[in-house]
Amino acid sequence: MKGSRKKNHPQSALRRTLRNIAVVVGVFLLYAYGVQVTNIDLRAPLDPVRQDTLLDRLRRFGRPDLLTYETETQSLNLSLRSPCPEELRQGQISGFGRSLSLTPNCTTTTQDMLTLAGEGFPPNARGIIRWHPPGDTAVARQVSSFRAGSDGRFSVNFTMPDVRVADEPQRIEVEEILGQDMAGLSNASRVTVNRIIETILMALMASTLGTIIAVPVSFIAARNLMARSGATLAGLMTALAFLPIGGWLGRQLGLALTSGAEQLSAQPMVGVGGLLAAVALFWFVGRLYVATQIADAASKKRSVASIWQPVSLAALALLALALFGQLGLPFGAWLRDSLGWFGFFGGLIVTLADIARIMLPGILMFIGALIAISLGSRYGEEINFNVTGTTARLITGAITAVGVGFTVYGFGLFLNWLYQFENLANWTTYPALIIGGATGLLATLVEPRREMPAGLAIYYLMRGTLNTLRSIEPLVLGFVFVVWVGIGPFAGMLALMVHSIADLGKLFSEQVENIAEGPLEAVTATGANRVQTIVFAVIPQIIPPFIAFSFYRWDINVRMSTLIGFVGGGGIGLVLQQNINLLLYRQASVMIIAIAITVAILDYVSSELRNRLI
Amino acid sequence: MKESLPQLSPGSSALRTFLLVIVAVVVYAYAVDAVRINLQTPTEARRQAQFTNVLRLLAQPDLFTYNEAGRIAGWSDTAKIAGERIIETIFMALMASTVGTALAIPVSFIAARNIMGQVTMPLGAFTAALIALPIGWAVGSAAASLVVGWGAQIAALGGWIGLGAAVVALAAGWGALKVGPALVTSERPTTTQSAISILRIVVFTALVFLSWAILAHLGLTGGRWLQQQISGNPTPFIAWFSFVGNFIYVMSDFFRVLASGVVAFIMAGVAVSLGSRLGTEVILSMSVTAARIFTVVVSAMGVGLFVYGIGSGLEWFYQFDNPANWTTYPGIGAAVLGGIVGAAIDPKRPFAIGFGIYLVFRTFLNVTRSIESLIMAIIFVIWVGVGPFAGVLALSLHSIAALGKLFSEQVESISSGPVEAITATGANRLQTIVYAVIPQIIPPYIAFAFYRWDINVRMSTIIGFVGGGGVGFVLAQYIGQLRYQQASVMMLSIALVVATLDYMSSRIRSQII
Repeated sequence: MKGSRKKNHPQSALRRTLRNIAVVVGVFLLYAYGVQVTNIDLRAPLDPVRQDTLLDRLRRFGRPDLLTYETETQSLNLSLRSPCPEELRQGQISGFGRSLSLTPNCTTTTQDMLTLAGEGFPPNARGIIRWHPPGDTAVARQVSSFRAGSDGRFSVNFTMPDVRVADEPQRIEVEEILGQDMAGLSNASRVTVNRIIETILMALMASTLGTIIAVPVSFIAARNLMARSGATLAGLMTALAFLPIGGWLGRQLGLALTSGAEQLSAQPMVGVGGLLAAVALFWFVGRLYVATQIADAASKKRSVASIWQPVSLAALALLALALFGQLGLPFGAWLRDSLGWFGFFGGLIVTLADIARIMLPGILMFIGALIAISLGSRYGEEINFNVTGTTARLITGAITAVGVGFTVYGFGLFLNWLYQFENLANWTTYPALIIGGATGLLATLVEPRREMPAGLAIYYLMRGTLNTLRSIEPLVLGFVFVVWVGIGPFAGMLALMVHSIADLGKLFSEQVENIAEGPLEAVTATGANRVQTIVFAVIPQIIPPFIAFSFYRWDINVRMSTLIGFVGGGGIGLVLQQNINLLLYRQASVMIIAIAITVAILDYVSSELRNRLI
Repeated sequence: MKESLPQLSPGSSALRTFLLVIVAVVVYAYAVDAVRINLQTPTEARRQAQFTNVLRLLAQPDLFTYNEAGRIAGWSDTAKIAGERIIETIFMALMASTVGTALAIPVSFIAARNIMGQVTMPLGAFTAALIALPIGWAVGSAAASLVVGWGAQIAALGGWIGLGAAVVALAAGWGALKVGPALVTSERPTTTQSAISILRIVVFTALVFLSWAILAHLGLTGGRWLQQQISGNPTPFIAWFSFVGNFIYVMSDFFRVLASGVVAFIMAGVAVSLGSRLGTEVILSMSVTAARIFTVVVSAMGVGLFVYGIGSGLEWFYQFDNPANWTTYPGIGAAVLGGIVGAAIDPKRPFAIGFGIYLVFRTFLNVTRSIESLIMAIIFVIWVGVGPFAGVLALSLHSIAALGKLFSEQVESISSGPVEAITATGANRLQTIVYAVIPQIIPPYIAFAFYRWDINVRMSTIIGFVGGGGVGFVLAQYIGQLRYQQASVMMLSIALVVATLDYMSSRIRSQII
């Protein structure tokens, strides 16, 4: 843009004037249309009725219901008839030096206006007017309130909320408030404190989980790291073809482990024994493994032990995890019941065990898929090592047809799950065959040893996903999660977590892209592999900004978590909205104040922490 | 803090790490409990079926209508609603950002430490300004109401007469300014010359204001008339432009309603400035004893009036049982206290009044900033009703606070060289700001304004959840009615708009800075 502007010839004065006029007219039209579209109209805010309502509600907001008071009261009672007799009368009573009159002392409909006048009250005395409907079980209802002037007089007009026809007179109670004593925090304050803690912890959990997941994601979404990785077409396509197989195998292994662990822990003692044995064995093999690694490094050769030891370590860890998933549930539940206030430790164990139990097949599926990709790309590259020319091209073409076919079939299956097509084959088999065959043919045209920018493709895919997720507001995500896990802070946490992953993933990966090249080249020059480069050259450079961004995200998450209750996501927003819908403004005010204080404090703390870190 | 920590022995450092781990475990264990993370619910078969169902509906947004052959016949009603609402949403954000930026600029100068820290004056001058404030307010308010009233009367005579009168008033004002000797001369004017100059400026301002008032009253009827004329045009394209008439109407209405308040505010500012300047000159020209007496009297009056005024405001809002406890008695107490302080201090010593004002403004901005615009919208919905206007007001208020803070931080971080250079030429405060501060802050201000627009677009998409208008309002309704296919269209449009504006705003920002 800048370049093109420079190329422009110096404009004549007339053209410049014309352009300026066009800009001014354009801006005028833009704002004129904006005023129309956004319905800006001063009649609404200036409407006296609206202004009265606003003032009334602001006055209630101005008296937050922070404390409870013990009120000392005294009451005078007047009688009320319903329906009205032929002749309207005035009801009068005096006592405690006060006198009251009710005109008329009867009501027939809910539109009938009644006037209560009083005198002899202390200046500015306040009180409540209640109606006791006929019948012993009926609950008294407040019909109005009064406030005496400086001369001790008042006059209040009100209508009855309901009319109950009865023979005997009904009671109108005029309760004067004599004095108030503070009796502690109000109910609204207590609810607020509980909910604010829930809100902050919701944000904390979302930020923590979001950060943990965003870190690996950010490496995949960093251009400078991903642009280095490439593979030949054969390698890539073998990886694609292996992916579902690896995933399936991993999932089967996970399911088998889970059911095995379930059978083992049917006898609790056996289960605990198995868990202890697995942990002990893990420790033992782990020691052996470290020793073997050192010995191998000294003798510069790879022993057989260096393969079976990590495998058995992983197997033992998985077994222990599966057993923990089974045993943790009853153990955690027992802890929760017996620890009293510290019962939340039991809750933590239950949750962790639950996660281990439910997620194990999924985690193994993921790991299996990763291993399959890694193995697939390696073997795929090796296929073409010994062959050249047409053979290599043909092999590449065949592998590509299989890899693309698998991928298209899988994608078709997913689409079918989502859209439930009438004819499954139209979306899975046929496209897989056609697209797979076509790309297979095309692949024969590619030089077999050429490196494909696979890393870059993954980078773009990842960045695209992150940008899409980031543009869905957490409040909108909250709607979806509420459908899944129900109303409550869990839904809010999930929504905030997903948005945090997307947002932090982008911010983190930008940091990774900004790192200095020097250490990277130095570590690569030592012959380090990709993981080692990341650990020794990238991570030391990015820890401070990552921590700073995590705090920044926590700050944002706290802000959002106070609002996410509006869509059912738990926290203080849920109660705030309920109170506003019930027109309980004094209670809502407590919550708004609490939100403002929390946000202000966390804003300050987070900016202080960030200043110290960067 | 980090540096001041003593070197820890390995034992105590291990103990500290251990304690940190324990605290972290307790916090997270408690958090898991408080957040009620429970995997039973999401893995329940019934819930999963329900969730799958909702996902399937969301994946089939109601975007198109189909004809009998099953081919796309055009946009669906939902898509049209989404289009309208998205435009509403973007304009909500645009209006709020514009208003927020315009109002945040003056606020940011008052909330900048380096500018306000230089403002010092004797106590007597400050309290004199406190006395002048309500007087200026009252005079400005009365004068503006008077002129606006004249404007209404003249406009009532008829459209053409009003228009002519407005032009005549404008020309007369121009004449008052231009006819006669130049207002700004290099020689020091005599008192009479100054008085005449001030009078001419006042006449000019009043006449220009009168012509605006006439035009505003004409605009009220004229805008509505124009709107009807244009919307009655048979060509749909021209009829679409009827919003121009509405704009004229709304702007005229704003002038009519806000003019006296704005003039009162400006006059209060002028009065404060005059009061403080006159007070300073008087105190500095008097002997110490006279200055002390002056300070005692003025401080007692100024502080007393100020406290009484605040008490009256509180009394109006809270309707206390005993008003005198909140107005008269604190007023008298403050007056006595002001008198004592005025007697105790050195009357000619300058106080950093500006720093106090800076603190008050910063605190106010921080408090306002920490109330989310969604919560502000709840209150504005009570006032102006459900609709985009409430959203605009809420977003504007939050934008003023957020931008005020960001802008003032920019003002604080300008380089002091140009400021010193301009100050050395003998420029006054306003000239320093215009020639030394503003050129330095324009690029970051524009960048922040775009950044704010970006945030406002995000917020305006969800402010409808509390009744603030825009696409969020319809989205919440559709979700409440379980119409997920329609809701999906709204979600898509939100994502599209947010992504586009995110991209645009970051591009524009990277070009500016």
